[in-house]
Amino acid sequence: MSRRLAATSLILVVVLTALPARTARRPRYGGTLRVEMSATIASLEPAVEAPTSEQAAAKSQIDGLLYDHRDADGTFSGERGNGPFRVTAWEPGKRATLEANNNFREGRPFVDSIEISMGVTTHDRLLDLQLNKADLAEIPPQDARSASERGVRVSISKPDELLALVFNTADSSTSRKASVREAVARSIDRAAVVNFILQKTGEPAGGLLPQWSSGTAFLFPTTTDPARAKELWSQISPAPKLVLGYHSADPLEQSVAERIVVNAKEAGISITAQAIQNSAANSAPVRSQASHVDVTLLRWRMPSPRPEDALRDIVLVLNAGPLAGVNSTPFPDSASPQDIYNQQRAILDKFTVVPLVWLPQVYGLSARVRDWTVPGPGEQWPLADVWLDTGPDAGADKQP
Amino acid sequence: MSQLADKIAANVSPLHPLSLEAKNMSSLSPTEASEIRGALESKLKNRSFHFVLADPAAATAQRAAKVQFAISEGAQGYVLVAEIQNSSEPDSEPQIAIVSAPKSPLRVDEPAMDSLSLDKRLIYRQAEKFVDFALLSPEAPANPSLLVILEPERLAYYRQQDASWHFSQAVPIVRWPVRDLRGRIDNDGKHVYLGDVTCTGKLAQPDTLKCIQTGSGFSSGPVFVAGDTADIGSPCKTRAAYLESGPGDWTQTDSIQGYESNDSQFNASGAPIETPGPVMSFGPGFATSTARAVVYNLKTKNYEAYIVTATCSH
Repeated sequence: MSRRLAATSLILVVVLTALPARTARRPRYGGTLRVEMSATIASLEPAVEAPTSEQAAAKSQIDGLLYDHRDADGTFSGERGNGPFRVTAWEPGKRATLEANNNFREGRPFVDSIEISMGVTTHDRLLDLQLNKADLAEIPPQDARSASERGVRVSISKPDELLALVFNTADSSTSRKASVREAVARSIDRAAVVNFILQKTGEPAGGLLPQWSSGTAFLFPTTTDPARAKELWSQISPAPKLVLGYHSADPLEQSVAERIVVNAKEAGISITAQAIQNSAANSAPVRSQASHVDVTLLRWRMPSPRPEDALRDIVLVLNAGPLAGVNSTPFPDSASPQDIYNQQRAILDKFTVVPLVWLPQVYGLSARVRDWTVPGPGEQWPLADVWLDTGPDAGADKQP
Repeated sequence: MSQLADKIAANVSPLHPLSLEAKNMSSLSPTEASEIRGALESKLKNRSFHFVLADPAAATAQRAAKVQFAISEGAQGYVLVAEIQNSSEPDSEPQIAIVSAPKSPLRVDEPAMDSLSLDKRLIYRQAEKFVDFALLSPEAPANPSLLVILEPERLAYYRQQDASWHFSQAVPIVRWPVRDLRGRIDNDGKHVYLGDVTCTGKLAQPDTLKCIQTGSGFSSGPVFVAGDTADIGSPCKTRAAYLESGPGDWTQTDSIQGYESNDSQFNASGAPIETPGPVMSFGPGFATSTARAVVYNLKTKNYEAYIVTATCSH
């Protein structure tokens, strides 16, 4: 009996050893992760404020790799360098090299280092992903489909960035008329924006929170109503001429603005799109006030998946600009789904903010990137958990 | 459900009948959604409401208030929504009543039947990470009453009470931090390995366990870990068998497949069973023809302990 068991065990050991090499599930240590981003970061010093929201977001992602952890208020804690990585080379606005911290509290990252190239154009990022010269790069949502068709491995988050129209009710007497705002809002064909401009990477937005977060977005209609828009506009006398501002450096905003102009004109509404340059374009609420436009496009990314936290944030953003002085319903600290719905309804019924589409975050990955999980709202890139699958013989279970 | 029924009752007079139309926008199954609708109907009947068919003609004829009931889902759980249209004000905006509901536990898939038939049984789940577990029967061999969970910082003990596990005590473990933490509770019931730490003693008697750090840093320490395969003896006569988890990384769902020896070759036997996330650790179980698996459930974000049992089905 014992001989038979021994023989069986021997066969098992021999055959298990002879099994063909499988795709490794266990992470491997080693390698350099090559990251490309469009933003240019001049300084990582906390005292130096990033001049644009894009640069601030990129700086925050790098900070997330250098600091031990992030507090609930979004600030990073501890000393820089106590996080999973340390900066070993820094060329302001161009390039950074980060090295794995062997003594990181949660364990050493799998990759040895990260090379970050800044200021890389969308075209070059896509090309480098195709040519396997980059491991990770952000892709604009409108380019996700074509990137995928060109063989780029694409990772898409839940839609967590809102593109909306915000009327400048503070400075524009035209925008103060509710019927003007409602007419524009009803003329917009959101489905066309999603289908043609975004190539179906995104979804129409009716509320200030996406369905996956609030569970009640379906209560806010997203359909177009050009007949009602035309009727409303015909009752406004004299018919005003509206100016819609968009960020001059954002091709998506430009395309959407032009689409809105087409929709509005179909309803008889007189509106023109106007690019806004540089600093005036960095913040939509400021943008509309500074540039004397009647309405502008706002891109806002959820800071948290929790609907109450996200809603509180966008209300703060809006109240800092065009909605300043506009009374809104008090928002309780522990808001119920009913409270969250009521708050959105109170804002949206005024048509000062018109949600257009929800955009996801899109990332291009090289084939060797493993254990990448797409970060949700408020989350950092999980680069300490990512490892590089460089083949069966390259550094398997190598321990630093 | 009572809360939603109360909100509906606050907006509609029970003198008017209700027509209730339900839609499921959540991940709940049609059966579960139907049960929830039934529960709402029942609560409304308790509040003296009576129902007419949702057919628009019938509803209009009887001046029924229309309630469109939606079972939706958000980031923090299920959201139950009632859009209430009063018969007296058919052109007005509907009243909206919303309540939240916690998510119910997931169901475990039924096993497939084949020559080597696998069955997985969920033993335990928790949000915090753990790397291995053991189900012990210190009092009666056939009745496991002690669950040991090997967590990154401790060995946690749970006792069974009223069909659920209750925390009883823990043995702290101090170790060198590593990202790819591996650990194993040895089937001899006397050794526990976690990173560079080895604990020795009687597993069922936590006070006897002594944990010693055998090295410092990544490169040292034993590599006693649960792997991707588990030897399960010979459920089908004398044919050696083992189970194996699938390929892929920790962001994907997984499967467990049985293999049996046949003339020195191991071939897949029976249908694989799916797991709701990656199998994080896998090894032979304490009982014959069983394996234990720790699975990270991608949907619920819980770590789950499963006992996988292989039986021979002809």
